[in-house]
Amino acid sequence: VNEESTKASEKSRMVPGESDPGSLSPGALCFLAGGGEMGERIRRFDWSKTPLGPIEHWSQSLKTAVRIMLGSRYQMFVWWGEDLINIYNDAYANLLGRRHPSALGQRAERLWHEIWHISGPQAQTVLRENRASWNDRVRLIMERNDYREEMFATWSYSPLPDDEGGVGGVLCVCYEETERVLSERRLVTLRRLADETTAAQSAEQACLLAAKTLEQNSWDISFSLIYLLEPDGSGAQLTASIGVEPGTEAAPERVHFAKADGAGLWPFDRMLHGERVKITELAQRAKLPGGAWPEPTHTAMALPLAKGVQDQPSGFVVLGASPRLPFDDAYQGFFELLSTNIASAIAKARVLEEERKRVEALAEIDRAKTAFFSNVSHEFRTPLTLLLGPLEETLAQSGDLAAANRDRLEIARRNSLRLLKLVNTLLDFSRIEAGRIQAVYQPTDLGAYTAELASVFRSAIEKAGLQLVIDCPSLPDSVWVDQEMWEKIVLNLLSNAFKFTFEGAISVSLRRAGEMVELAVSDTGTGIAADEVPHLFERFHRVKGARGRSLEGSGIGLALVQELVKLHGGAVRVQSQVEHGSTFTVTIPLGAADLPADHVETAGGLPSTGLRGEVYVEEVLSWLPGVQGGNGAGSTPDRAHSSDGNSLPRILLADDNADMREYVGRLLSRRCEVEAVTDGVEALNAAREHTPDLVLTDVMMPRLDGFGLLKELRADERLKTVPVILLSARAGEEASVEGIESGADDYLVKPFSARELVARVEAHLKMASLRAQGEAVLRESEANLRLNDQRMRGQKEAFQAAINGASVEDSLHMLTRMVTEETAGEARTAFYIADPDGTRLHPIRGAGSMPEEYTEQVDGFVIGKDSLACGLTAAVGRPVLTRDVFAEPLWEPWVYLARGYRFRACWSFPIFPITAGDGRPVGTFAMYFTSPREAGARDLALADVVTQAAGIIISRNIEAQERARAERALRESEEHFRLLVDNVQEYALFQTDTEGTVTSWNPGAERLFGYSSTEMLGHSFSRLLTVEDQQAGVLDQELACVPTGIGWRDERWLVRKDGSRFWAQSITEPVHDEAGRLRGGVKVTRDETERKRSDERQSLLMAELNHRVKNTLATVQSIATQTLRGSTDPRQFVENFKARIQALSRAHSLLTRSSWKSADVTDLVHDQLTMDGDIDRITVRGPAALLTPQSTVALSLVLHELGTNARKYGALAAPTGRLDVHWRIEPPGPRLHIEWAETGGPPVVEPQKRGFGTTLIERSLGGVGGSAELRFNATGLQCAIDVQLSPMGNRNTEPPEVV
Amino acid sequence: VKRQRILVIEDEFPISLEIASALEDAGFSDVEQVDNEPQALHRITTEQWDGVVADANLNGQGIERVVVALYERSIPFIIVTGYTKDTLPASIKDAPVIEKPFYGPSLTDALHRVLEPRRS
Repeated sequence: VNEESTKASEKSRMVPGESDPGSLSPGALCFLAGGGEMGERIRRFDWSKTPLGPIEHWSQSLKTAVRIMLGSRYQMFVWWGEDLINIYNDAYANLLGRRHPSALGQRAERLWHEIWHISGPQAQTVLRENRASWNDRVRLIMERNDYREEMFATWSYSPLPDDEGGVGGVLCVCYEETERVLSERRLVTLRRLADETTAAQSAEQACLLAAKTLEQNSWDISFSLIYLLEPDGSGAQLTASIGVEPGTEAAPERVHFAKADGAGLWPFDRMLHGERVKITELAQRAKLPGGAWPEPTHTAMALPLAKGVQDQPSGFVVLGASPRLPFDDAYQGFFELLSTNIASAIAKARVLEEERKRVEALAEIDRAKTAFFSNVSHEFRTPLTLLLGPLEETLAQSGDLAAANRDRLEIARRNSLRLLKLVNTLLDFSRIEAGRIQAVYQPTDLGAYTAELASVFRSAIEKAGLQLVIDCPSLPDSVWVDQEMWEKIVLNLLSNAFKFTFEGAISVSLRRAGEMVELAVSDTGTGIAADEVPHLFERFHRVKGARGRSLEGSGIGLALVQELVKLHGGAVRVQSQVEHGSTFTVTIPLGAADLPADHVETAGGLPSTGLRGEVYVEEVLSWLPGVQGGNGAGSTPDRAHSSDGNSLPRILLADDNADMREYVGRLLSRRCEVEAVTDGVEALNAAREHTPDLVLTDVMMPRLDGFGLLKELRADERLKTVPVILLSARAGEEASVEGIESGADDYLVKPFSARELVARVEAHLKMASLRAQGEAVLRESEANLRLNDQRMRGQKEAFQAAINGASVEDSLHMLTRMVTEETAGEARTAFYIADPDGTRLHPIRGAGSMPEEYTEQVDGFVIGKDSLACGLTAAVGRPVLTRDVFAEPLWEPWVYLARGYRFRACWSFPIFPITAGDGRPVGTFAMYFTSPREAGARDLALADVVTQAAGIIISRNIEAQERARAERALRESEEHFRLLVDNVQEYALFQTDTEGTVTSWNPGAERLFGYSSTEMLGHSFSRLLTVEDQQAGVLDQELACVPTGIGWRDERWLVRKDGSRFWAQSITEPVHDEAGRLRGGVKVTRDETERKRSDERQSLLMAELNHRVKNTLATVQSIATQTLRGSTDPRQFVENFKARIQALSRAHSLLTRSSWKSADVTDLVHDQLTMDGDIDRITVRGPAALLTPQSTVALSLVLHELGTNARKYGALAAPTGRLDVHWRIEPPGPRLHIEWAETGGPPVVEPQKRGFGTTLIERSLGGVGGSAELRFNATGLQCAIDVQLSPMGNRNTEPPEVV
Repeated sequence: VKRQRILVIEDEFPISLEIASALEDAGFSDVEQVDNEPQALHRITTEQWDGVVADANLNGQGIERVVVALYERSIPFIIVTGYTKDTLPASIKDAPVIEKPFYGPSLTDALHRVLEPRRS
């Protein structure tokens, strides 16, 4: 198609449009002067065949418009007249592509048929309404080249006035904005890509989001395939595809690197090695969609997904290029940026994904722990009982028990009792609920009994600074109660009062109220909020936020009181006022009438759950500070150290139970430093003062409970990561979950074993330290992410600038800006580039932030292993980091520079090219700091980012320069080659396609064959063959040879235009196109006719020689035979034969002197007439005359016979006889006439019979067109000889010569 | 015995004589000799011949025209020449070739062979 159209345009260029420019007066066309190429074309165009008419008749308005247009460097054209005939300027010719120059003089509608639906109506409006139109950046699909091309243009149509004041035409000024629009469009895609992929939670998601973003720009990206490398690196999976059906040949779902097949169209092996591969002429291999366009995609790029070129790719992306745009550098750069951005998105998503997985794993561990805690059961009683027995026994018996051990045993006993009490209470409940309570009602002096029970608390209450008021007078009648139950009622109520009363008094009163007896326990304590009162007696209900001495307790005491009171047919109620106190009132009937009869006065079978009052008292006493080992930190060693001297982990223990504090403190004191406090508030203060490594806290504590403490700790920025273990007596799943959800790290349910506590504490300390490390890493990685983001932006800006055509220094300066920003201006930078031969460094001016005067001074710095800073870096390819140049001896000669430009630290980093090259850096990047500085990981990472980006930017630049150089070299070499081809006239050089049609024809070919290129191009090569070769099918044989791909050499006759033949030696080589397909053959042909002729002459000569020798032999044979026939005896034969052979031999000798060309008649005559003795009697006369070889031989034989005859029988036989031989040359011919005349000899008689000699004389010359006539005169023999002369060298006017 | 008219076309007289002698020795009684092309053509076209013995080279020129005339008249002929057969023009290669110097009986045998098909 291309060639066709080229031919078409050539034709239109040459054919009828042109007119003879000489026929116009120069003045008429002066408006075209200086109009460039188009001015010239307009001048030469034959306008008379267009509606505009001959150019000299154009209206002044049109001429003016054309002059203005031609003078402008804007792209402009004029459409003139009703038919809108197109005239345009040089600038516009570029936009026309292949429509130039045929567009000149065309009707606009025909010229722009494909966009006439846009342009036509506008032009008409302009013409009709005399008003300009304006089109801003309109997308146009034009076929200015050999494909439909997407382009953008801004143009305006303005009316052009004609000479009559109307509108004569349209002036269009336009400029193409394709480049700008494409650049913006691609930038949008890049920006979106960055935005859209931030949300990605995984690499796969990043790919999908990226592909979705790419899909939005189907103008530039016709299809896209994103593959992720499999973790083991053996293959890649198609993760996202746009525009291509997954699983098809163009989009294999999985690619095995080890298998050669199955990779489809894409070069995965090359991408795996970091190569970015451009794939062209795709349409011939697969039908790939054209994105927004109907045409299939021709070109695609396959790129590894790597942030940097040296990175292992995380996957691959294949991007299809628009079939309607040229795939130029900018386009390729865009695809490269897309690939690095997708790679970044994937890397970022992977970091997030890993973090999320880590968090999920931790949560899973926590859930498992929760399940574990929840499964702890409460089989208390039997083991407790078995525990208590031996304890009490030991305490009772061993007077010699060490005080410390006694204390410990006491704690054990006391707490075992407490637990037993709790367990008993629970048991009571279950019994009550099961209706199996074995109440035994006895008539009791309830006043005395109650007072007795209450007085047990007296010492404890008074110890707490409170008053106990007992007002329990004996009642007139006994009251039926179960004493054990009554005890529990009174003690529980008292215990409860004590817990919440911090000052004032607790009073217990009993009195009769009608048929009921009324027990009231009042306190001046914290009171109970009104809304809590209804729930007060609910089982396990605990008053929220209540301030008490201890939060120990199950919330079961009051519930039990209520149950027990109910069993007595009574009721319990409460009156309370917050901050003033509460009064619990128990009312039971006086008599036994309401009691179950079978339980009255009977003894129970079930074991008693009653406990001695001391148990209650001991319990409440432990709530008081200083009791049993006391309060707070006193129980812990001042300072604990581990054996190796490192400070031990600090544990803050908060428990309102002194025993617990002491117990836990002791358990942990060997491994930890324990600070024990009694409640949450103290714990918080202690923690704020000195951050502990772990907090161990009871859940239920006065003032601030465990959850409150936890909340406070977590809210404190400094303390929020301190692990917290909650200790609680509340078992059950709900509590555990509450514990975990509240943010506690662990939850231990009492009772716990020493081993368990220690193990948990140690585990958490370890975990905390790991977490601390992890968090530090995470914090760092977050910072790194931010940093990376910032760096990525910096890189991107620099790349974008480079791609948009900014200079290397400007692009690199963007990196410098990034460095300045990140180091807050601390680092100053410089970039250096190495010589091509790698010997010296030169600063890249304007790229760094070091003053230019500095970099000027180090310009030409030597690269070498003995050099320093950048010079050394460039030589060894590794960073050279000088912390302090003052301290480095190598720097001594350069320290003045460091002083002058105020820097102490100088770090140099190598910049490697993106293509592997020879592994040497292309340049270096240096950072300078005003004070000594060690390079940290962050600094190195920053330098890495900068050098990587700089590597790409510099490589691009070098590549571009090299490409330009290579293109120039190629152009030059092509030019040389063309000159060579044009100038070497010795050779015909022409090309044919696979059908044998001539596609190129050089001047040498024109000269050799006589056909001009226009006569030959497009014609079959076969016309150069001889008719014989044509019939022999030589063309088909040659065409059959071409596909073998092997060149050949042949020799044959070829035919010129004039029909003459020449012997041609040809070398034919097959020609392939870029894709390796056969395009035909190129022939170099040389005229070898001369050589051929000389060869032929040679063989001709040989044949002649052969022929001559054999002819001579035949002659000799004949002479022998004939001589023999005429001889009478052998002697005569031998004599005659020898003489004749000698005559023949003389003739041959004579001819040999002239190389058998000719012989002179004079020499011949002398040779054959051996005149030794007869010289006076023989006269020989005649001019020089050359005879042909044949004539020479024949004449020699004739003269020999004549001479022999004369000597034997003729004139010379007589002493007086004479012989006269003379000759002359006569035209035409010329011919030689020899007269042989003998005189004075014996009389002559004509012989009767002709002998051999005579016949020889008469007939020898017939064969050479001559004759010899013998005249037998009486006076002497005469012979008239006529011989044709040799055509060469004989002139018929030669003067006679006498010998 | 053989009343056949044979024309010897040979430009070199001794050889022509030798050929004629050989033919006469072999019993050909009517042998004529010509030593140039114009005569040869003239006599071929104006007289009846039973056979021709021709040199392939007459005074430096080929005998193509003579051969054409012989073919046209279907006159059998043999060639006597100093050239080797492969250097002869293609047009006369089909005819029997006797190389010079020749042996008389070989020449006459060859002539007999080309004449015989005619006779039978």
